[in-house]
Amino acid sequence: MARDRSRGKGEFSALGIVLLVLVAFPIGIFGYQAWRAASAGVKIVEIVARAPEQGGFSPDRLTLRAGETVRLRISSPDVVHGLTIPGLGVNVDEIYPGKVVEVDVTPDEPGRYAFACTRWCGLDHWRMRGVIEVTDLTPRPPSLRGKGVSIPPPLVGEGAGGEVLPGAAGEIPLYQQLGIDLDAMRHAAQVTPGARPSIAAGAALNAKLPQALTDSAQRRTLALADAFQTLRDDPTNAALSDADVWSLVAWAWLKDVPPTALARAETLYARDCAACHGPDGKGKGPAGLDLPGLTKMDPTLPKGPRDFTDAGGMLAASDVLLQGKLLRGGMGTGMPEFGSLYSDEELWAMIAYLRTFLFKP
Amino acid sequence: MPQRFTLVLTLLLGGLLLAACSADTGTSSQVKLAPVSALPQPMQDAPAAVRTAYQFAVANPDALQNVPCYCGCGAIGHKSNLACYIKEFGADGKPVFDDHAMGCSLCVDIATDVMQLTGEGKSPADIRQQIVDTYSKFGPGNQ
Repeated sequence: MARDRSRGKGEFSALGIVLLVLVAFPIGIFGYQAWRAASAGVKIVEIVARAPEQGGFSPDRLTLRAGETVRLRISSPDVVHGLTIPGLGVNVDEIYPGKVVEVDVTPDEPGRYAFACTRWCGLDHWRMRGVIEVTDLTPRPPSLRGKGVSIPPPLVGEGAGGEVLPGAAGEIPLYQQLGIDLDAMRHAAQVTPGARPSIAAGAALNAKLPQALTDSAQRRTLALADAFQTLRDDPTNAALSDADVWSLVAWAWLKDVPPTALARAETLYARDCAACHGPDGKGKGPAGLDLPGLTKMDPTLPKGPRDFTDAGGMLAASDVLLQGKLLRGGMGTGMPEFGSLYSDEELWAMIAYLRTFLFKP
Repeated sequence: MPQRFTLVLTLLLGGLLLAACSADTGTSSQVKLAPVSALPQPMQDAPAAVRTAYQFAVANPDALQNVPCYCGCGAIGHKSNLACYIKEFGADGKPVFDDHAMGCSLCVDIATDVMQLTGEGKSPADIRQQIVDTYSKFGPGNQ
């Protein structure tokens, strides 16, 4: 009888331990997290950053509410990652394995905010992205509350009864408005400079530029080789050498770009482009050697990321064309879209920066 | 008897906790996916988002055929986002895969959105409209 009682006590103790492990311990952990959240007055969202082959960001789709502060707790179980959410002003340069980075965000405006990894975490780094949907705080009508029920989108214009409407007119990209086919085969520029054109040398010539080159909206639509030919054919430039005229082109393209914009683009290039296009812009970056879309590339061009020092190709391309490629990405070639990550200013600054691979200060 | 009661209580509380944890992850959308084994090896080895998009395309071709793609693939004859993943279905019903989406970010973004919206129970018309609203800023669609 005494033995039975002692065994009963033993079982009771064992169950007590099990209870402690299964209940008290998790309650302690979750209670601590809840207490931290409550004491800080913010909601906590855990984001795990893994190499894209292992899942990328988890979750990669988040829904937040405008005006509500959320604490993002970001961790990595494998290699060093980074995180940028440009629209929300979040930039985390390093998320080390085993450490947790906390960032508080309070989105002001409803909308769609892309986020991306900013460290070269592997060959598929360019795939490591996600989206935050920020919804309005306006409560739903009671009749529409509940899972699986959504408020229909506002009806706009004619044909709204089910027909697909184009996006807002202001959102049509410039290249599309101008009817430029980003993927059409293009001939290389027939004329190219013999030496690297110099912006300073172009400025020193004190030449008068035609309006097509002083007006940025017009200039952006021109191939640089065509601009060279226009200047070359202008009798007022008859005394200039071809090298001088190329320097005029370089000056025309970059004279109005603030140094801060070029510095920003240089930072972005190092972060987002150099692994494929190379730090020197020659298209030989290690991550670009074995892209899954190499077979999709223009067969008339060398296979691989664009060589920004290739005068024939770059001088045949207008700024608008390059901007389109940058914002949309390559069509199946492995070049990601940057339209959801870069502001307009950053897109144009990047185009200007790409020109500096051919033009020296 | 008390021991059994304690055990049941423990299991119940543990179960409740696990349920609470899983409800908090917020990735509950239930959509049909083809098994990974249904994909060619390169797609099986692709980044998770790409692999899942291919799995979704095989199991939900109508959902992707319902939406345009904005990556520029209209120029190579694609008529919908589905064409970036599957060229056609053979007479045996098996998909003939296209590796276009393997090198395309917009193609996969669009399919991921369709997958999420499908999981949320949105209608095909609403899904299509949302894709158009989100992606027409990147270029001309192919529908």
